Parts: sequence; C-alpha cells; structure tokens
Amino acid sequence: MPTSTTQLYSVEVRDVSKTIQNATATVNILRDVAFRVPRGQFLAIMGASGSGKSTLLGLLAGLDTVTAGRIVLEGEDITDLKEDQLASLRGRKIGFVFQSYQLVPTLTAKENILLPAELTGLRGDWETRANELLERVGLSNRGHHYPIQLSGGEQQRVALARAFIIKPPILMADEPTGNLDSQNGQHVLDLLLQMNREEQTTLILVTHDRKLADYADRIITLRDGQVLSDELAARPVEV
Amino acid sequence: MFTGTASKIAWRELRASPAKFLFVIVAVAVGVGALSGVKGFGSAFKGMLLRNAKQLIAADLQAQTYQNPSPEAVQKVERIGQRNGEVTRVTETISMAAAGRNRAPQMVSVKAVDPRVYPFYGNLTLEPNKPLKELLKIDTVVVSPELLLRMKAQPGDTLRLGGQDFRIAGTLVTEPDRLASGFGPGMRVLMTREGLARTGLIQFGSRAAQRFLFKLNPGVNLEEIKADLKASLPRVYLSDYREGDPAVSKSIDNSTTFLSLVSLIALIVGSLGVAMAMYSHLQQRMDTIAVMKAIGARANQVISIYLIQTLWLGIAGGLLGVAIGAAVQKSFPILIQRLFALLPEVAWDWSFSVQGMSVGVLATLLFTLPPLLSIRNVRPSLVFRRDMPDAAVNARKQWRNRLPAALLVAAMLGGWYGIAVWLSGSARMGFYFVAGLCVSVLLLAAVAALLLAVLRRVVRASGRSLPSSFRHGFANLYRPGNQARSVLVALGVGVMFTLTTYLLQTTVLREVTSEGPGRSGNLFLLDVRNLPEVTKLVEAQPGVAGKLQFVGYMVVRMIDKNGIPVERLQLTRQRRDQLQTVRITTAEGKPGSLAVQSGRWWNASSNKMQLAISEDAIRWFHLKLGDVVHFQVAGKDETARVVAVFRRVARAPGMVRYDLVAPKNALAGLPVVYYGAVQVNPPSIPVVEEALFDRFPTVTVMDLADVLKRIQEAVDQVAVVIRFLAAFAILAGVIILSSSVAGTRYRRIREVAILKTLGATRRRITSIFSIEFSILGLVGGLVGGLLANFFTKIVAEKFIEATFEFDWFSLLLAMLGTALLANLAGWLASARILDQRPLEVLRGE
Repeated sequence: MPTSTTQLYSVEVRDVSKTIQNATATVNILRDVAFRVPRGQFLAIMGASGSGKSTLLGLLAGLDTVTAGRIVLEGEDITDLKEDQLASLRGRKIGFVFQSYQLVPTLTAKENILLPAELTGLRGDWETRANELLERVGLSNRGHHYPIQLSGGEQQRVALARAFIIKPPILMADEPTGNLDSQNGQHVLDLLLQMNREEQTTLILVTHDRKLADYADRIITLRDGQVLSDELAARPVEV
Repeated sequence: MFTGTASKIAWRELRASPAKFLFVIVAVAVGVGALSGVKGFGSAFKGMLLRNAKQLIAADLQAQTYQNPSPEAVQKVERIGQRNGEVTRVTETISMAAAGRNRAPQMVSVKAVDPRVYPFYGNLTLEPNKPLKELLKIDTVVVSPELLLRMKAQPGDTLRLGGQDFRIAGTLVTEPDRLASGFGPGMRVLMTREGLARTGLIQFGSRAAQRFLFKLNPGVNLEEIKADLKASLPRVYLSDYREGDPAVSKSIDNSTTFLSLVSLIALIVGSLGVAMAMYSHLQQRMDTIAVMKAIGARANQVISIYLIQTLWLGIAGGLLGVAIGAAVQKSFPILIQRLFALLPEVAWDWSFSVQGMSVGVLATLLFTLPPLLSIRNVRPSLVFRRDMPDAAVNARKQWRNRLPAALLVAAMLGGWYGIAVWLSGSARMGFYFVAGLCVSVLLLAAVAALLLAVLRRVVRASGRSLPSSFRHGFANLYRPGNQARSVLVALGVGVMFTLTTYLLQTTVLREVTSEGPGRSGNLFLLDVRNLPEVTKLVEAQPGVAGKLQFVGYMVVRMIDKNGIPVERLQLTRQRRDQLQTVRITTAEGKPGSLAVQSGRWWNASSNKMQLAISEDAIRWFHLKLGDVVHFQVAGKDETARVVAVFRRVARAPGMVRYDLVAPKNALAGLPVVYYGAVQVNPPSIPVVEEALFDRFPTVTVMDLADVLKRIQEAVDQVAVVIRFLAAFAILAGVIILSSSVAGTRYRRIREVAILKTLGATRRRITSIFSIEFSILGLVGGLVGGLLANFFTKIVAEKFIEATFEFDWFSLLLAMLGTALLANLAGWLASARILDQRPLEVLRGE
C-alpha cells in the first residue's frame, strides 16, 4: 500500500486474529478482522459480551499482541514493536478512557492529568494545559483532590482530561459511561464528543449501548470474534 | 523528568499502608542491627584489648603453662625475669572452700600472688580500699562479693580451704587480668603464695595454671626473652603487651564471624520477608501498573517507582538497624561485665554502621529484584479484564524467559557470596555460607514440594469422601499467585533454626547428665589421691547409692623411645614439649569405648608396665606397636613396651581421654590421681560434700546439678542470641505468610463473594481458610522439624560426639505451633475479607 494512502488512515487493521490457549482448549477470540479508520472518524465498535470488542481495542492500542495479521497506527506498523516501544507509542499517540476510570490512586486529579506528559518526557507547558483541561471538564477547583475524594462522574472527567493532555491523534474509549448513572453518563459523553471535535481526534469507542453508538460516524459490530457488520452513519464522513 | 512523579507515587503508597511497610523496615532493621552491633562490639573489644594489653595481663609479658614446672625450670624463668626487669608468679586452681554460717563447701577459683608486686599494671578494686599487701597475709584472703553472697559470709569470717583456715580480709571487686585467668569465672579467692603452699592444694599432677608475669626494663629484646622462655618452660603460652592476648583476639574474631553470619541468616530470612511483602504489594498495585503502562509508561519507569520505594525502605530499615546496633553494642558490656574489669568504651563507629547499612540495602535489593523485574511482565491489557488467560508461551520463548531468571539467580548468589565474604573476611567461609544456604533452601523446597505433592495425590485419590471444606482448603494452596512453596521455605527455615538450637542445647545437657565415669553418678570427685580411703568414706555416707566409679591418671615425662632421647625424635616442637608432661590413663581390662586394632590388650590382673596407644598418639608422637618407651614419674624411672593399638568406637565417659593407657595394677605406688563419680540422693549431697571436705580438703567435689546450672547458664547466653534470631526468622515466616495471603486478597475476596452468594456460611468459609493455613503450618513445621532433627544428629555425632535420638515430641510441637502461627498470620491478613458484601464485590468486578 502506498505511503500516501496509509497516511490517510489513523488505524489500519489487516486480517487480525487473536487466539489464546487456556488449560483445556484453544479459544479464537478474533478471526480475520480487517478495517481502516480514516483520520478524525468517530468509530463505535459494538457487540455482545464476549464478542471480542475489548480484546480488539487492546490490540489496537498495542496492549496485547496479535496472533496473526498486522495493525498500523498513524502510518506506523505496531505489530512487531517491543513492549517499551509500544508504551512509548501509546504515550505519544493514544489517549485512553476506561469504563472504571483507572486513575492512579496515589496521585491527585491534576497529577493524574499530567502523568502521560511526564511519562513521554515531551516538552511543553503542561501545567497550563492541565489547568485548561481541568477547567474544560468543570473541575478547576478539584485539581488537588485524590481520586478517592471524587465522585464517579468526576473521576471519569479527570480521565477524559488525562486522555487529551498530550493532544493524541487517536482516542480510545472502553464503555466510558458504563459505570455512571444516566445523568453523569450523558455529561461525560457530551464532554467527550465536544473535546473530540475541538481536538480533531480519531475516536474509537467500544460499547454495547446502541444509543451511545448512534453518536458515531461509523459502527462496526462484532460477533464471535468476526466483523458482523460495518455501517456508516447517515451523515457524511469527513476524511 | 519522571523521577519526581515516581518518588511522589512511591512516597504516597508508603504513607498509605504504614503497617505493611513498618514490617519491612523492622525486618531489615533487626538484621542490620544484629550485624552492626556484633561487628561494632567485636571491633571495640579488640581495640580495648590492644589499648589495655598491659593491664589485661597485668604485665609487659606473660608466660603461662598448665603444667607444674620443675624447680629448675622456675629458677631459669626467674633468672630471665631478673636479668631483664622484674618477675612474679601467679598460680590459679580450683578447689573446695567453706565459710560463714552456711558450712556447705563450694567450688572456688583460687589465685595465689605475691601482693608486694602484683599487679605490675592495672589496679585491683578492693574493699576496704587498702593496698593488697596490707590486706593479704599468709593467713588471710580476699574474696569476690559473689562468694560472700553465696556462702552467706562477711569480711572477718573464716574461710576453710585445703584443710586450713583463712580470715576474709576484704572483697575483690575487680582484677585487671581476669581475662587472662587460666580458669573460668567463678567465686574468686585471692591469697598469698605462702598461703597457697599451706593448703597443699598444688601437688604433682594437680590441675593448676601457672603464670609468670614480667615487668621489663626499657630497651630489652622481647623476642630474645620469649625464645629463652620457650626453651625453659615446656608447653608455654606467651603473650605480650604489643599483641594483646592472641587467643582472646582470635576467639573474639571467631565469635564475631559466627554471630555475623547468624545475623546475616536473619537478615536473609528478613529480606525474604521483604521480598514477599513487596511481591504482595505489587500484586495489589497490578491495576495501577497496568494503567500506567496503558497510558505510555515504559517498564523501567514503573520499575523505578518501586525501586525507589525499596531503596527508601532499605535505607529506613538500615538507619533503624544502625540505631538498634548501637543499642546492642551498649548492652554487650552489661552482659559480660562480670568477666572483665576493663570494659570496652563503645563509641559509635561509622564504618560498621555504613557496612550494616550497605548490607541491609543490598540484601533488600537482592531479594526484591525478582518481584521488581516481574513488573516487566505485567500486561497492560489487565486494564480491560483481570482474568484474561495468558496466551500459550512457546518453548523457545520459555527458554528465553528462563535465561534472565537464571542470570538473576546467579546475580543473587553472587551478591550473597560477596556479602558473606565481606562480613567474614574469608572467601572460603563465604563459599561455605552460600553453599550451605543453597543446600538448605533447596532441601527445604524439595521436601516441601514432595510433601505437598504426596498430599495432593492423597486428596485426589480420596475424592469426595473427604469433607468439602478440606478439599476447598487444600485446593486453595494451588490458587494462582499463592506462594505456598515460598511460605513453606520461610516457615521451614525459621522452625529449623529454632528447633535445631533447642535440640542441640538439650542434647548437650543430656550428654553431660548421662556421662561420667561409668555413666552413673551425680557427684563428681576430682583430684582424688588416697583412693581406698576416699572410696570407703564416700560409700559409707547416707544417701550414697552404688559404688564409687573412678579412672586414674598420672603425668609422666618421657625420656626416650627405643633408646633415642626425646630431644632427638623427629617431632614438632609442640609434640616434643607435650612429651615433657604427658598423661597416662589407667585401665584394668579394655574399656568398652575402645577397640583393639593391632596387638593384644593385657589381662585385667596384669601388673606389668606396658602401654596401649591410640591412633592419635601414633600420629602425634610417632609411636608404634613394639616400641619401648622410657619415662620418669615422680622421680622414678619406668619402661614400658607398646603392646596394643586401639581406636575409639564410642565416646569415653566423662572427661576421660584415652591416648596412652597403662594397666592399673602396674602403677601401684606411683602418684596416680583419680577422678570418679557416684550416685547420691540429692538431699544427701551436702552431707557427702561436707564429710569429704573435712577429711580430704584437697578433693574437689562437683555437684552435677550445680555443673548443669553453670553449663545451662553458659549455653543460655549463646542460645539467647541464636533463639532471638531464630524467633525473628519465624516472625519473618509469619509475615511472609501474611504477605502471601494479602497478595491473593483480590482472588480471595471474589471467592468469598461467590461462596457466600452460593449459600456458604461464614463458618464454612472460615473453616476452608483455616484448613489452608493449617496445612501450610503443619507442612512447614514438619519440614523444618525433620531437617532440624537431621542437622542436630549430624552436628551432635560429628562435632560434639554425642548421641542423638530422633525427637518426635519436638516435631509434633513444631507442627502444631507453626500451624497455630500460620492461622494467626493468615487471619490477620484476611480478616476483613469475610465482611465484604457479595453484591458489592461482584458488581465492582
């Protein structure tokens, strides 16, 4: 594939399979999954529990290794990268939002937001950026609080701010509203979509909630580790 | 830079669980404290010995011998002394004495000096505070306060010693050369040489230490004088002010090395505890580690957090340890103040503190390396689901994974070897230490694995016939992440140490109680000369059960062998000197503890002078079957042919040592000294002692109970240190168990939630966990107990020539005790697990 074409896409998944061996049998979690995500697209990955959607997200982020196939992120083939190279790539290119927030309990809200910048060692005025993000998620007065002192919704907003700190080209979210009540869930979703628009990030969201997926530009549905459907939303996709 | 954030996280995690990390700090501190304390005190002590060498021998030069020198030899020595300055003679021995209202005779340590000149250096502390020459006359003594206390006497009372009466003129609080004393600490009686001569205690063959003290003129040639003294006195032992007392220095070095290595074992077990605590801590931090990796942290960055944490803990433990070490150094002098007039001034020595700190931090790091490096294997995908099974690892990858592990083990062993060499100052000792450690740990791990495997097979074979609580409890041992083997090794090490100390102690005591001439008797008689009359007197006393059993010996001077004078025999100087005062033991028939190797033993009734010799005597003195030996005893010349060579097949009773043996009847008329044993009903012992003391005041009587008490006291002093360290090892085992349980906390919480949801009562869950902990404790106790018995047997039979029977009771006690401890530790770590509401847990999954 010519480089120029590759660079049009944020994510390319080429015939990816994932197999695991447990004590009694071999389990095929993903089979020959293939798709490409143009830059700036909001892709929702749907599927029932056990369909392989979280595993796929993990593979896309280089959190786990594929059994077969290749994955290219922002023009860089990550399939054969070593653990530390993957970590470094995640630090530079991927923001994460998890269902259960996953903040570091021993760091304050602001320190959590600053963590990716410190890990990557990138130069920049991160303090100002963190303050600005805190303000954008409505927590400018909660920066010195520890996660345990924040509500679920507040923790997830801190996680959102953390995901955007280094202005990553790709944002991955795993059921970001799954642990929240509907009001807080809606608030977090609105913020996510708003920030995604403002930062012009490619957003890949894993959910089993159809209503949430309906916000996406495109929906890929998995069943038993295979792509069941790949639908574009009615509105035009900006490439 | 990430270091700032890493330090921040490290510090806040420490602050969040102070109790958990306090253990880590204490574990390191105890090891470091023991180490720096022992090392620091050893060094302070040696420094004191060197600084005060003159006071410690009360002279510039000391010549000591345990033989009674001939008048000619004494003259020679005195001439050497007078030529080069001044000389004085000190004689020490043990004997029986009685004083005050309580007439029961007791053993005392007698020291005879010339009060006009003794001591050349250092001071005696006397009560009343008068010069020694004013207090000591031919009919007076000064005694230690302990003697007054135990004999219920006071100054002015009469002390009866060697059949003579002496007035107690004062008390002797300290004497400078107590350390150089030929006999151990005891109730001291200080008297004049003329006074000692009155008692008749010192005769040919008596047990006595003779010390010649020299005060030398400036500029004399010390080496020349020492050479002259060596030529004049057989088997002389010299020490001078420049070197202190080499034997004492050496024994301090040996003790310091031994205690340092024991402390190192404590530190190792403690570090193992630290490693387990760290492992459990990392298990609980798995989510955070995965999250950090997911958002871009490289493995080294995450490792740096926990490395910083470990370093801080090691340093904090080290600092606390240095403080403990200082306290240990301070308390040592209190323990030994009874023995020494001069006590080392214990000053804080930074070099030992640095050494202790470094060893502490290094030890902590060495053991925490594996859990720290395992951070590399934490998969960031854990952020999605904790229970995602691992993908199968192919064989090549497995080998690739094993290589770093092997390198890690090699690095750890190398580290321990380095530390042991550093502490002991010997590469050989370092090697033995590490090899011993490896063998013990491997043995423990192998036995523990074997026992668990057998148990597993039995449980499987029993199927559903076993109660379900037991099956579940047992299955828990194989729960992923459960450190059953590590726990068993740590508990086993602790139990092994404690039990070995206890078993060796009881073996030594039992050996002393069961031994003695004829292996029967609780009253020992030493320096018996008039055997028939002593026997008659003793056997006529009330409460004496059985016959007095005795062995005789005499000290002879060998003149020649097969006509070749001793001076021309090709022997080492030491052995040649030894032949000047060699001991011949008497025997009628062949003693049961010996087996004839060549030649023939004489008939029991034989009165012909002949010799049977041991294999040692052949090696030492180059004797052989058929040799004719000419020797002198009490001025008489005797000739004997070597008719038999024997080897020892069992330990000889009591203090008997058979090297040169002659027929008992052949020694009639010669000055044979006997020692014997007799069984006396304990209440009658004072009566027998008094009767003997009245008629035969030079016979020393030792009550076995008293001897045992003294031995027990001596053994206890050493045992208390080892026990403390062993107890610490057990504590570390308990903490390791707690940490291991805490490490599987997440899984336990889920199990409890599921079991509760399915209808299990608290009681049932309690019994499942209790069974798990009990199995760990029982197996740990069993393994440690078995090995303790095994090691005690080896040590007893190879090193202290004692017999050892497998102690089943101790094994049972070890198993039950360890099971109890394991339950305590396990429940401490899982107490709140039972209180979790199932819904809360299952929802939060």
